[in-house]
Amino acid sequence: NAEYMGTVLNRIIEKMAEINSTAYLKAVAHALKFPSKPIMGLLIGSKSQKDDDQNEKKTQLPTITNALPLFHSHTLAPMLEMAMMQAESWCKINNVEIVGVYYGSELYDGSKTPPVFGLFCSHFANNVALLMDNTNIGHTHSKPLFETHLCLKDRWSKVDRGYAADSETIQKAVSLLDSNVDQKIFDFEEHLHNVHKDWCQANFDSN
Amino acid sequence: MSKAVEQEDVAETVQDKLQLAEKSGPSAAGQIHKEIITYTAEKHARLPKIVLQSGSFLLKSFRKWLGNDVYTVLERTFLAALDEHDLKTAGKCLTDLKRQFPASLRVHKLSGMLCEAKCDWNNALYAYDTILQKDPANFNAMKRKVCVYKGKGDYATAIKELSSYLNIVSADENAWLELLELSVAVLRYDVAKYACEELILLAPENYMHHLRYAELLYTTDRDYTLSRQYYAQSLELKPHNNMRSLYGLVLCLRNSKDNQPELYTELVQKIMSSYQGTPAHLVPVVESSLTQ
Repeated sequence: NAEYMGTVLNRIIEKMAEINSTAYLKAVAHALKFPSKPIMGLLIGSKSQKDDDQNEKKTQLPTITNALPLFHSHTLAPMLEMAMMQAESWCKINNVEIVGVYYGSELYDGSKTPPVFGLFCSHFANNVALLMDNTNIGHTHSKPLFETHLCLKDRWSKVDRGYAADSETIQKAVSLLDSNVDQKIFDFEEHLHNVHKDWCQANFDSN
Repeated sequence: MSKAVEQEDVAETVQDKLQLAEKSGPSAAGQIHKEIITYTAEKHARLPKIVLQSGSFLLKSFRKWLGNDVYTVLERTFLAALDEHDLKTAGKCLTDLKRQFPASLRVHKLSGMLCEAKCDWNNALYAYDTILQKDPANFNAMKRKVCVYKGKGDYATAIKELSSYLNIVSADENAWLELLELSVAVLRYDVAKYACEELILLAPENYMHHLRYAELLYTTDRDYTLSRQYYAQSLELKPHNNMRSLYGLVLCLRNSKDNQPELYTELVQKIMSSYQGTPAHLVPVVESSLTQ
């Protein structure tokens, strides 16, 4: 029962985790660049260290510091494998970890994720998934753009106390709607068509 | 030229025209905005922000000057407004079109599309069914019905409807592509492979179809030998800028029993040489993933 799992998870998560401005803006820009396609990418950061004297039942959400945009289609195994291999290399070089995925549905109702997304997530047990809420794009501060989903015992459920971005980041994200994002963000799939497109750019210039 | 690259060129050309329009006086600007609309329509480019901007500009003060072309502009502005979720402008365009063409099935299809944009699936289906009652061979209405089911998230029905459409019109490449994407989304790889095979038969010179088939074979049957052949075919059709095939071949060689070290090394060299001139931090990423 997904709802029950959600309440369980809400209890065990200590506090709202913060998502870095770069990661947030990159994910939003990726979604805005391909509004009619399903987008997916990786969340990069660091998993929290468990202290010995900390209550083992409490979990901290990993800190998200960056995002790597991967695809703007429901991709198949080979390119997904290659993307994961390269992403893992990049993480090793930059001393960070893959802590989750983000996904933006091509449908207006983002909560109806197709089965292929479930397959994608099954490789990311014990990680976080951020699902983009398409109905909230364009709203300034009323609702968050991402729903947080956590995996517990191989079941994914939504959590209310998830990731929050600060107001300045949200403002920048909204202003991305009017700006030209096409040149600011590239994903792995575009990189495959033109290797000069940098999908691993560490920073995001929102101006 | 791949579709992605073409779209980029179109976008660039349109941006140039827009900048020119901003600098010109009103009458010249009108001409340029009209060119933008016809050019994007010709190239099947999806640039809703720009088309909406140009369309709104023309519809505000250039209706008389456009003459009968105003209806094309209204239609294109309507479609762009739907993409931008500007339902108000879309509604206004539709009202004007309905007034001029009250019995038109083409306009009726547009009102169905407006229902879709509002997520009013039942009324959208009703609109398309009405069109099909009057004109049972109206392919646009059939395709829009597929879009309604997809929009609802009902991929199974969408696939069923699209398959019955393709039984009638089996040469519609875009429809087969859509079927391929829909079936991959619901993990119906059997349907995906069938659609891909049809695409290869319809357009054997298109490197993307062979590429996708190679990827499907890799994903489903784990048939690395056959997948390799299709990747090689794709490379033959497009030897340059076909990184996806090169990577695919690398993965196939890794996973098959006869991994052919000479060929592998040659492939790695070819990939690394393509990376010359790219941002520096990409090179070690690629290199370490290939030489694991």
